[in-house]
Amino acid sequence: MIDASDPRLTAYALGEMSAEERSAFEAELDRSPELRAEVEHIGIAAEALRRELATSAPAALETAQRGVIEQAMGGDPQPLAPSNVVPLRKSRSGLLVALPLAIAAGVGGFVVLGSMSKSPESSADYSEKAGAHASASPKPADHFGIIAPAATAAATGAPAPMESKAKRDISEDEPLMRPGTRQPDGGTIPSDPALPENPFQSPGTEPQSTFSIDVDTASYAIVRRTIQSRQKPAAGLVRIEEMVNYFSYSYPEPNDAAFSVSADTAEAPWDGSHRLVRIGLKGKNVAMAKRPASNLVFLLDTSGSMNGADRLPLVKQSMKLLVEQLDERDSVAIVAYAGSSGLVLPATPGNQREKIMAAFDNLSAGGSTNGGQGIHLAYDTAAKAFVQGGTNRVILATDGDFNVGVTGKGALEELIQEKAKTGVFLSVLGFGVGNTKDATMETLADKGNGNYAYIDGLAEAKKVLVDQMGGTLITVAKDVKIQVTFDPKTVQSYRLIGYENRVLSNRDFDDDKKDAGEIGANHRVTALYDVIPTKGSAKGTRYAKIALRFKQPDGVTSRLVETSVEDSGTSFDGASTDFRFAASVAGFGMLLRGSKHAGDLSYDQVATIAGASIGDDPDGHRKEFVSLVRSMKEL
Amino acid sequence: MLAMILASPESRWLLDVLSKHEQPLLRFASAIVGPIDARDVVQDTFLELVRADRSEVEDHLVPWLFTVCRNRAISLKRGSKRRGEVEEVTEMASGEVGPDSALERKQAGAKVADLIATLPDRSREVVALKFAGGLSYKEIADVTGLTVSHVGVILHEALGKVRATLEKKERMLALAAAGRQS
Repeated sequence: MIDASDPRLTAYALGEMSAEERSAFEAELDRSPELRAEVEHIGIAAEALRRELATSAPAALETAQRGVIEQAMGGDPQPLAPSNVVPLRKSRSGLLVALPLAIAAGVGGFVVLGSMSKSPESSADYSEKAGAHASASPKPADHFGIIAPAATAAATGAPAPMESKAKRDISEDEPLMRPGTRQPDGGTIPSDPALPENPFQSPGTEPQSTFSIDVDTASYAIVRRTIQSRQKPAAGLVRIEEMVNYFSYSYPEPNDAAFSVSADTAEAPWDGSHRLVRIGLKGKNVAMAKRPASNLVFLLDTSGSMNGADRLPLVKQSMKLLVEQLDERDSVAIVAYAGSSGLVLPATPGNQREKIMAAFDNLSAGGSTNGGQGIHLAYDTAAKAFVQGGTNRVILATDGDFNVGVTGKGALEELIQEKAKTGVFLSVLGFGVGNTKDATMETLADKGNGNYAYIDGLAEAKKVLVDQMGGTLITVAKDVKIQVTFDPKTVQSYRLIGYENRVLSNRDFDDDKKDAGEIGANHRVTALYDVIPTKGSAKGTRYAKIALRFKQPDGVTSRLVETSVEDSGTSFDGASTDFRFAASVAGFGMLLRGSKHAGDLSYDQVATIAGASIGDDPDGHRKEFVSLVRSMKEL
Repeated sequence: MLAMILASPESRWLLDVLSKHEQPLLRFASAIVGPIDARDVVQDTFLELVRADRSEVEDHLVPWLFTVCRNRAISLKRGSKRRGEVEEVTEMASGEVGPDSALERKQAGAKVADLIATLPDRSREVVALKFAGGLSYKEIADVTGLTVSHVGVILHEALGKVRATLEKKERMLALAAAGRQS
């Protein structure tokens, strides 16, 4: 029997058990929900400690200190052959300067980082110290103009990758992530402040509303996890469109098109005088047997922070679920960063499952994270195995705790965007609580033409990677933009619910250079407008014209489709099950965000509406939503 | 005809070690000597590594790094205690926190920070090796000379204290919320 003082609870929570110990222990845990809760609380406390220790520590050595270490390395007993050297010399200002002319002709591009001291004074301070410590007489640091990805690749036997232009700049601008930003509560996921909700607009002054579609679902999984750990989700984590889009709705099948568009209206549940306009998109279904070949590179975070049952072990299990769907058409490669860093598995045919599974099993967590390095190797690996006309995708699994020093957020986004143009897309799977930098992960997936999902357990992994694998892997249309033009004669004011970070300026609609969201096979996208009509509801009133622009997955010019939305005069109770359910999810999101437009809506009402519109719910997601709303009410 | 830019395997290895372990070592050292001295301690650790023989270190790299780092940190701390500089170290530590995070610290993390500060030295070390360094129980045992099961007990107890702190904070928040409502 286990009791709360048993240190095995901690060993289990920290992932310190062998497979046998773990399964024996889990059998005991299954008999006791109290001990399960105990394990969860230990995990939260561990997170609090990790965060605290990360926040109070400096993120990196001073550049000058690093320089001293690298200079000490200059006493290396194995000097380089002169032809292999990137020449660096001390300039008059005391800075180390790269002389690019010798190499520029031959090499496609390379990176110099790390050893460039920005601060001559502090450099001098530390040189003295280096003299005292280093046994070999310090030589000029003459061979550290090397970026680590080349080193990583070489160390694992892969050829040194040729870098693209974007790679050159990753090091200098703002840090990608500051690990361990302190949060006011124990185990929640850090969030950026919420964007202000979209306001009501009058078509007289602003008839058009333009936004990019968003098929991400992470926000709902994060909200669910937060509420289940009995905390109120911060408003910044609540992206209403991602909550609504978590659920599946029936929309008309597209015939030959990439996706279908439909629109309907009914009374708004929070105010009887408002009309709720729903726009629904459905991506075409691609039969699994007919799907294009997939070239997948898993980029897995194996840093120390990925210890713990909800992280690396869950990542492995999730990836295995996905691999089980693959066959000989596909290829899988695995790149790890930190811990067991480098190319863990080169591109391997999808039917060699044992080999792939063994590679997953051999991963272990440890060390710090440098996401920037791993991502280069992952893209290079994907480029080598590129499948023309197929799915080429890097799938990043991380808790978001990227190393600060080496990777700049802006440069990384640029790299991801550039790679997306070459046809290699990026999807992001978030794991764990604490370090997860939600908004950044969403941005990265957005730039990479991919999707962002948050995996809080095996059930969610199954939903994202098995049930909706087509949507996750097969893009049927990209850069999908929606522009709704409201009629001032029939609409007094309107408000787009959610999509706050997807709003585009009206002129971006026709600009094919402006990036927007992708829709995958069988994906559903729902957008809701809260509309106040000029003279109440009347059947047949035309409220707006809807225009959509999208590109073929490999296209560069967009196509345009148009439809319009008319009032059907439907009461809320008369609306379809799907309509009512989507409205209840949007309402829930509005309440969580403390929206001032939620009228007299309450959690009770949301639960009642959702409970009465469960319909056909094969996976139980809608039922789960109802109980989530009830738990929220009790908080 | 491409001139590949390659450093010696030795330097590549060292750079790799540096980028991988710099941050965990800084976090660990910071918990023992504060953020300012942490950088010096970690710099010394890597200089020691540069001097060491790779073949003798490589198969137990992580415990080796943290052992060196711990020794440096402890001797620095002893030295500054003798010179009566402990106060100064603490002051500089809090001075490094910007106004925003200082405020957040007051609101939230302070309790956990206080708790870490009041742990006995050995527990704090073990906690920092685990949660700052990301070491396994076995590696912590190697660094500290404790047994693996003792490490497990120390961590279990330390986490128990953190939980008590967090839960107390939660109760107070709940009371405050209830107070506002009534």
